[in-house]
Amino acid sequence: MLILKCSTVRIQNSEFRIQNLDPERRGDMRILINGKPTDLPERITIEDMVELKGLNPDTIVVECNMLLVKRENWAGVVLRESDSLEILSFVGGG
Amino acid sequence: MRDILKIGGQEVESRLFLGTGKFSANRMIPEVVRSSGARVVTVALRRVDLEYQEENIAAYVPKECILMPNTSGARNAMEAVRIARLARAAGCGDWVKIEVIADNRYLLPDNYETIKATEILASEGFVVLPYMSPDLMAAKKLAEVGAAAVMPLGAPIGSNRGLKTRELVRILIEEIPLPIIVDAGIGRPSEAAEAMEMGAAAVLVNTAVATAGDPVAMARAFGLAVEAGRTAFLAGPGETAQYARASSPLTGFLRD
Amino acid sequence: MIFYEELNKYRDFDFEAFFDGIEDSAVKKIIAKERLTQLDYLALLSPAAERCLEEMAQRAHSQTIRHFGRVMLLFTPLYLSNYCVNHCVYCGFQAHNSMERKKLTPLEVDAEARIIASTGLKHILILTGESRRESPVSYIRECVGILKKYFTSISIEIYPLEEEEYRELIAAGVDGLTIYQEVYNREVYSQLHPAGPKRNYRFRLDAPEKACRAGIRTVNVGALLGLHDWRSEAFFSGIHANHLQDSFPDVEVSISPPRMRPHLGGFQPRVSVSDKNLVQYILAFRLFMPRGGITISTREGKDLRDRLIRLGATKMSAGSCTAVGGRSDQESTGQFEISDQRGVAEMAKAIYDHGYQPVYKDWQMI
Repeated sequence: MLILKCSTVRIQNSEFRIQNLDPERRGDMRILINGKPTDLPERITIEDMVELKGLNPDTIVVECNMLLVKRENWAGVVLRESDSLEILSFVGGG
Repeated sequence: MRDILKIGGQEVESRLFLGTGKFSANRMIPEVVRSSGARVVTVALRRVDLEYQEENIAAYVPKECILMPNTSGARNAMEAVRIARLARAAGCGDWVKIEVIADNRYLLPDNYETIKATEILASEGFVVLPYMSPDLMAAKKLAEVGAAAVMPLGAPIGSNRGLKTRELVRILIEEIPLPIIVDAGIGRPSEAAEAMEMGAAAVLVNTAVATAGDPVAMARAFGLAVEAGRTAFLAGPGETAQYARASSPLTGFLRD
Repeated sequence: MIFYEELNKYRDFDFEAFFDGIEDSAVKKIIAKERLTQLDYLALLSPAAERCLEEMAQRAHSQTIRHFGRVMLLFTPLYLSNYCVNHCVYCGFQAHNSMERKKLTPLEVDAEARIIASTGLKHILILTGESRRESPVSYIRECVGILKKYFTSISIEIYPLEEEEYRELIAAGVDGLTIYQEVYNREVYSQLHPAGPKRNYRFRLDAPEKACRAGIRTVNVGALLGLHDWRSEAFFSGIHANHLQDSFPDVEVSISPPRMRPHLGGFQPRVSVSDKNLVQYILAFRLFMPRGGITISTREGKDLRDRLIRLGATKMSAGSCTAVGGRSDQESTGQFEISDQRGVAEMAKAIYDHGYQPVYKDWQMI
C-alpha cells in the first residue's frame, strides 16, 4: 500500500484516508456514529473503533460516509473529523 | 409429481414464510420457526444501539432457513437499495424483501419506488421479493424488471384483517407468471388457508404469530393451515351446485 | 413471445385424442370456472361439450351482460376496391374469376359514405382486395380522409401491411383492424392459396401484432369456417385473440366466426359447420375470453342472428353490401352472397325486440 501524506487513494469506489505519518498531530476528534456525535481518539481505524466500543464484529455492518466498508477493509480505514458512521445489525422484522 | 415452490432458482420446502418482528423475546424464535415449518424468515436491518448491544437476531434463526432481510425503514428506492446492499454485505445471502413505505398511517407500500428498487437490485444479482399494493400493472412491471416473486398485501401491515384485497390478489395469481406470496394482514390460520386455496404460492405471516397468546402453537397452526390450503388448491374444487333445468330457453332452437 | 411461436407448440397436437378424453363432468367443471386455460377452451369445443350447450349458453349469456350490458354495436362494411392479385380458391374476388373490377373514386367514396351515414351508423369497416397497384396504402389513406367526415370509427380489412404502414393509416384515422388468417392449418393454407402474396402464411399471421405495436385500438381475428376442421380452427382463433390480449392489454380484441357462403367461383366448403357448431364456438369463446368481442356479419341469416343476440354476440353488421359501390350501383358483383338483408332500421328494431339496445357510436377520437 502506498503511503502518501494527506492524500486519498481510490479503491473500488471507496475513498480511504491513509495513515498520516506526521507525528505532530494528536488529540480527540468528533465523528457521528448512528447520528450521534461521538468523541474518538484521532487516527483510529474502524477496526479499532469496533473493538473500543465493544461491538461484535461478526454481527455488524459498517457504512462510512454513505459507503459500505467491508470487514476486510476496516483496518485500512482511518476515521477523520466529521465522518459519519452507520453501524447496523439485524433485528426482528416482518 | 412433487409440488415444489421454487423462487430464484431455489427450492423452498415450506409455503409459510415467517417474520421475526414484534416478538416479546427473541429467544422464542427458534422454537417458533421450527414449529411453523417455515424455511424463509425475514429480518430487518437497524442501527446498533451502542449503549446496549442487542443480540444478533440472525443467531436465533435455525441454520436451515433462508434469511431474508427486508428494507424496512426505506422511504424511497435509493434507501431500499442501500439497505439491501448492506444486508448482503453482512453475509445475509442474496434474498431481499423490498419494503418501501413512506406512509406512516397505514404503512402502505409505494409501488413506484418499489419497482425502481427491484430493477436495480435484480440487475445486481439479488433475489428480489417486492412487497407491494396489489396493482396488476405494477405487478407486471415488477415481473418485467426481474422480481423473483411478487408479494401483494392482504390488508395493511399489522391490521390482522384478513384478505381484504382478495379480488385483486386473485387477478395477480391469474395473470402474473411468478409466485404470488400474500404478505401482511393475515390474522388467522383460516385466512392463510384461504390465500393458499386461491392459488397463492406462499404466505408471509408475522404479527399474527408474534402477538398470539402462545406463539409456538400459533406458528404450528399456520403451518398446518398453509399446507391444508395448498392441498385443497391442488385437489381442485368440486362443481358448484347446478340447478336442474327443465327447458333450454337459449339453445332449444338448435335441437336437430 | 410472438404468436407464431405459441402456435407452433400445437404443431403435432392430437386433437382427436384430446377430444376422446373429455368427459361431461370435466366440461361442467370448466363451465363453472372463473378463468379458463387454453385447454379448457378446447374442451368446450369438443363433441362431448355439445351435451352441455344450454349450461354454456346460460353462463355465456350472463357473462356477456355483465361485461357488455344488453347492447349490440352496429356497423357496416364498405368495399372500396375489388382488384385482387391473389388466387384464394374460396373467394369471389380472386384473380381467376372474371368479373368487373372496380375501385371507388373519391367522389364515389363520398357518395357511399353519405348513404351509409344517413342510416345513423358511425362505425365503418372498409375493405379492399389485395393489390398494391390499384389500392395502395396511399389510396386507402385518401379514402380514410374522406370517411373521417362521416364516421367516428374506421376499421380496415385489407391485405397485411408492415408496421410503419399501419402507423400511417392509424395517424390518418384508422382505429381498428380486421384480418382473418382464413385457415390456421398450414398445409391447408398452402393448398387454398396457390398464388399471390397471400400465399405468405407468416406475413399474414404477424399482421395483428404489427398493428397492435403501431397503436391500433381494436383488432378482430378469426378463421373462415368451412375450410378445415372447425374445432381446431376455432381453437386457434381463440388462442390467437387471447395471445393478442395478453401481449397488448390495452387493445380491444375480438373474433369473428364467418362461415363460408355461396359466391362466384363455387368452391365448396370442405367441412360443414352447422348452426349448432357455430353456437358452440361462440359460447366457448365467450367463456374463454369474457371481455372478448364477438362480431357476427350478414353471412348469417336473420333468424340465427337474432338468436345470437342473447348468446354472446357484441357487434353486428347491418345494411350490408359486399359489392364495390353496390349501394349506389345495384349491378355490381359482391364478394359473397349476403344472407341477412336487413337494413339498419330493421336490425335496430329486432335488437330492441330482444330486449337489447342498438349502439351506433361506441366512441370517438378527439
